[in-house]
Amino acid sequence: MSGRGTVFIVDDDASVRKSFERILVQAGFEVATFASGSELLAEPRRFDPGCLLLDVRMPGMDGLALQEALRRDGCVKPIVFLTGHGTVPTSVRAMKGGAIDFLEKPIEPDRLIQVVEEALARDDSERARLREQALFRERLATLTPREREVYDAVIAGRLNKQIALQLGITLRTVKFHRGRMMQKLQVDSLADLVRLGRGGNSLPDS
Amino acid sequence: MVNDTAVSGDGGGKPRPDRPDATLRFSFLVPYAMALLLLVPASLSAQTAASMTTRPVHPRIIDTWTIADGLPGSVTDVTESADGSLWVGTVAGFLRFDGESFDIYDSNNVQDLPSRRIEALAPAPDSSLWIFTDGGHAVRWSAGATTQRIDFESDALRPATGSQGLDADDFWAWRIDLVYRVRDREAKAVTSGEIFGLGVGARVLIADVQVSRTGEVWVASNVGLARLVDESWQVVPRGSGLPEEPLTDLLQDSGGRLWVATRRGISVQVRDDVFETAEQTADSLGPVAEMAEGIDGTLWVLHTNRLRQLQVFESDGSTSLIPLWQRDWTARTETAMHIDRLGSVWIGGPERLSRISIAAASSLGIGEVVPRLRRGVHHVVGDGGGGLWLGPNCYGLLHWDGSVLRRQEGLDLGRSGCVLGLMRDSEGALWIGEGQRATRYFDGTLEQWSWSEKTRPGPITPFLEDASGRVWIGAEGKVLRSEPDGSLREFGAELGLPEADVWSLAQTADGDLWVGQVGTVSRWSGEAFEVFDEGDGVPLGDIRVLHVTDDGTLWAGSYGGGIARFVDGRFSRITRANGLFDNSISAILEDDRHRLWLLGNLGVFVAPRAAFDSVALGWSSRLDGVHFGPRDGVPEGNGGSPAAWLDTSGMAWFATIEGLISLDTKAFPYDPTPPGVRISSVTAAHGEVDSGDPLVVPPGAGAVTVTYETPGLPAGRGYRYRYRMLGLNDDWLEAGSARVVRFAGLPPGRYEFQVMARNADGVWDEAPARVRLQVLHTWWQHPILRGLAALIVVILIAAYARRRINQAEDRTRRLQHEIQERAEAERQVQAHQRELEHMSRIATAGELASSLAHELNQPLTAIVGNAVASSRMLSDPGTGKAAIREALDDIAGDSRRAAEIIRKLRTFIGRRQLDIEELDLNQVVEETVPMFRRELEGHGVILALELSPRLPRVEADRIQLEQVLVNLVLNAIDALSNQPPEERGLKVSTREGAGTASILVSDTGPGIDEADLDRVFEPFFTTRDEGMGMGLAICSTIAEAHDGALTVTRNPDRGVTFELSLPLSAPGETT
Repeated sequence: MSGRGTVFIVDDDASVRKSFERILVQAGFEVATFASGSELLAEPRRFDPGCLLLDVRMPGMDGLALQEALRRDGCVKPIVFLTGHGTVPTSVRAMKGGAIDFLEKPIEPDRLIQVVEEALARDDSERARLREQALFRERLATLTPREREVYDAVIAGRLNKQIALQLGITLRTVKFHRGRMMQKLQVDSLADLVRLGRGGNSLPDS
Repeated sequence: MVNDTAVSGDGGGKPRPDRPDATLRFSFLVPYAMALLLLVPASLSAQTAASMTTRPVHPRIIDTWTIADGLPGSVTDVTESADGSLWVGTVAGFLRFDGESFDIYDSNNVQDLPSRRIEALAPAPDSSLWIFTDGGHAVRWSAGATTQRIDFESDALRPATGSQGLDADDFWAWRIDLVYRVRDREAKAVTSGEIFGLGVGARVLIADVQVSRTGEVWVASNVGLARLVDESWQVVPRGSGLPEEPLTDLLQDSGGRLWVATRRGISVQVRDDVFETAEQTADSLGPVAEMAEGIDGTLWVLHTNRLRQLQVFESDGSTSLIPLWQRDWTARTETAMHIDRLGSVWIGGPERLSRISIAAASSLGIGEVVPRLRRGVHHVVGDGGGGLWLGPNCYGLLHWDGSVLRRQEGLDLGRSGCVLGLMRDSEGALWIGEGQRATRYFDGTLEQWSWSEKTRPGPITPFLEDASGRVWIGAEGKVLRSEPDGSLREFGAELGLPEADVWSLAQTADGDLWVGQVGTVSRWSGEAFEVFDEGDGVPLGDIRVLHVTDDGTLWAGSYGGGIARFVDGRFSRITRANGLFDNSISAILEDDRHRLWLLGNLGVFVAPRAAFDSVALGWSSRLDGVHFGPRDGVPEGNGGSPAAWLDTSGMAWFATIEGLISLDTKAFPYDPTPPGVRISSVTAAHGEVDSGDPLVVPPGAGAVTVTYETPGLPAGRGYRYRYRMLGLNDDWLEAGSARVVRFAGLPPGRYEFQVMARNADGVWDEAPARVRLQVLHTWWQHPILRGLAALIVVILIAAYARRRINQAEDRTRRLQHEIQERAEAERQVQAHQRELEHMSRIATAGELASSLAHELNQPLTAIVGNAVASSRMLSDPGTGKAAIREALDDIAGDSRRAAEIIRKLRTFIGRRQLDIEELDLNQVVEETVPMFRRELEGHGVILALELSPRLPRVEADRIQLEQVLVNLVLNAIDALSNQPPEERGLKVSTREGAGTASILVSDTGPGIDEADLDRVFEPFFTTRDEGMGMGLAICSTIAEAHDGALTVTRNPDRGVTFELSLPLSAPGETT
């Protein structure tokens, strides 16, 4: 089952780390373990595909702080938190912060495997989405200015007739540019175009 | 929390941020626009002009309060009660905030608050407040007391957000895996698994619960969205347009539409079960943690990386999301966001509370048009058509037509290009002063006059058009008048005018011309100048402005000396001593409601003209006005001629060092609601004040203290109060922002205390809050009682003699009895002491419960994992025996670790006899640390161990030493938990003294008052919310039982050090 991504485990307790590693390796996952958040942040492989299992309570940088540090770092892998007793309020925060799940200790091994499976699948589809969008942006760059104008108008939900009026060109010309644009962007349907377009156009926030 | 304020469509109240239909619209006057065309060179392309489109914007003011300002800890929630008060929930109590100080309510002053850790707050329909605390409790707080309490069976509950106040008889609360409905005082829970139809125990994680105005209940979770329909839960089907991602937040807007957030963006409900993506957000913003609706139809989105305001709710019903404002505002764990009814956004987070408010003033950006310009503007006049001419000193002339701001080309402004004065005359021509030259520009033609060959121009060129249409120009040491033949006539020193720069000009109704210079104002009645100076009350400094108000009165504003009114041949001054905001005044405007708006270095000030008159005429000593400063978006004012302009729409424009700002005089006061002050308590120094009307102050009660408060939102500028005690003083006294008045030594009699408040915009309460008081006579003040007193003295003497005899007899009997009892008591004390120590250990263990549970969970987690892994390895032929053995060894190791934790706990809390043994204190410390390690982590406390090597041994009971150490550490953690994170240091060390060995626990907390140092070991002394204050008393007893001592000293920098010192065991026995 290799090539599915690595499970990065961050827990300050060595026995817990080791036992999780054992379970997951036994189940065929690739695993990397870390005793602290700073260890993980120093690891170049952290951008590799995979998912993260983070202990919420750790000395020094706790799980939530690590979650934030990773996000600033540009690491958007799915995060599953490991929590102990009495950390329910923290869990709501973790979920609002974009964690995909949390597991309460002691953890049932089957449950652990299931959650890791889900997290890796999510990472996979997320990466596919990002790849698709990167590709789409590349293709977007090949449009002529006029095609780009037509594209912007289509994305904004305008009809061909409205576009013709807006750009001061004939309906036929709009259809022509639109055809070329769809061809260059390699999309088959309007729905795909809008989906990719809205995603690809999402604010390059500075 | 989502506020329940409806979006109001029209203006009024506080100025709103940018809106398409903002009132700042100007129409063009066609002839003038044509004149402009003549001047605009062809090179100025339409493109350039369009790129300079600029509109006044209201700056956003951010205020942040931290622990240094009295915030007791991290903020968990912010809300508003129905009476308009702002409430903040924290990890250390809840508080009411009035913009200046926090009224803190915690276990110290609220008897029955279940826990000081507040999870969430919710306003009830009346003015009361529901407080959800740690431990799963909710109490209702009404008029300063808890009136109702609900105990839930689960922890970490928060109320559902909704548009209506939380009704005690029917409300919803939730936590990550449960939703409660409370009806008729009974709480019924349903699991998240049930709601989403996946079975009671299914793992569904709730992110938000929202109750709509119509009573619909929505639940957002990681598996989707569900709603309650006819008492049964329905899951919004897939394919509805709802994102597949886990949902992170819900918001129902005032139009009834539901907004759903995920880590990817925001979707909005368009029909019943149909959702549309409203925005896909960039990954860099992070997931959406909270959404809230602004009062102006915008959506505020708190991403985990950024806070943004988005424009939504277009007038035609469509939706668009435009990032209006972004700021690198990291949400981190900040999830408390509240928008108050004035439109300010409150954000609570780790040890801070921030408010983003919209400034009263709006500002017109200049820097984009003239990049070299330091943004400052000096002169401003209207162009007669709704636009403005601006003189930013030596960067030419700017024109703003209401939407486009551009530099006016085609004017020859000499080498320096300096504009030093502006005026628009009655023909509509613009006069531009350059210090040594004046240019009249009309209908595309320029006329110029020079009067000096100096290359360095004077500081300013004021203009005045007199009643006969002739223009007066101020220059250095003279004034010039345009004559019908086109020449300039000079009036200067030869006519008695002082030799100084002329700063200002004015004409009164009687036709006299007034000239302002440094420290003088001179009157020209047609023959010679009559000079008024300091001796006539003229303020010192340049007379920067002369202004004639509608009633014909002359006012002079000076640079440094305040303003002055001309009365009966003299100037009467008003300065800061009279409550004026600033002594440097550069402009005076009068609005259509006869209020004067002054521009000064410190901003803008407004007060009714009558108030100025009354101070200038000596009828009152204080000027009651409103000051707009940087906190309202008003920067430092500039000098100019004129430096302010009131346009026909009532907008006042002011020249400042940060460009042009404007205030809407028609909409002022922006907050027309009087504060509605109420008296909150009347207390006496000694003795209770009896309730009733009047309140009765007992005799000899000493100073009477009255406190009062104003409900309502804290404003940017503070509220002010005035009071009087009728019967003592009939005049109103200014209290400033103080909310407490103390009257020492009120003579017996009847009084009425009255207090009035004024809001930030100077709106006073219509009627004062009042309370009647009756201070009773003390007995010696009644002559009748004096006779009685003499009688009592005689009786007392007789009684005293009799009592002495009785006492002697009693004492003998008591001594005999005591001897018998003492032996028995000695035995009991020993037993009680042991029992007390035991109880205290159990209590301590209770405080450590969650730490210990976590400590135990770790090996258990590892054991379960390893056991399952081993079992799978066994059935996997590929795994070697060695790997399996290793796993089994780990299981054994972790089991021993778990058993050790349990053993440790059992010995710690067990009932036992003293067991004195030889101990190494270092070992005691090391073995005790794991008991509180998690507690340290949970509170972010950093522990440093400094153990002295080769420490001699002591003879002691191990468990008792552990008990002392754990107690000291828990106390330290408690003291540290309200400190800023970087100041949470704890050091445990050991050291050898003279014949002793000690353990020291040293923290960097707030410390203990010198006066309390000795008292900390007294029983029942506590500063904590939990516990009885017995811990340290018992610790001290334990130390004494070991012939040792427990002492406390204040650290030189901060915090305290506790030292437990014990005698060394006899020499020779040391190993």
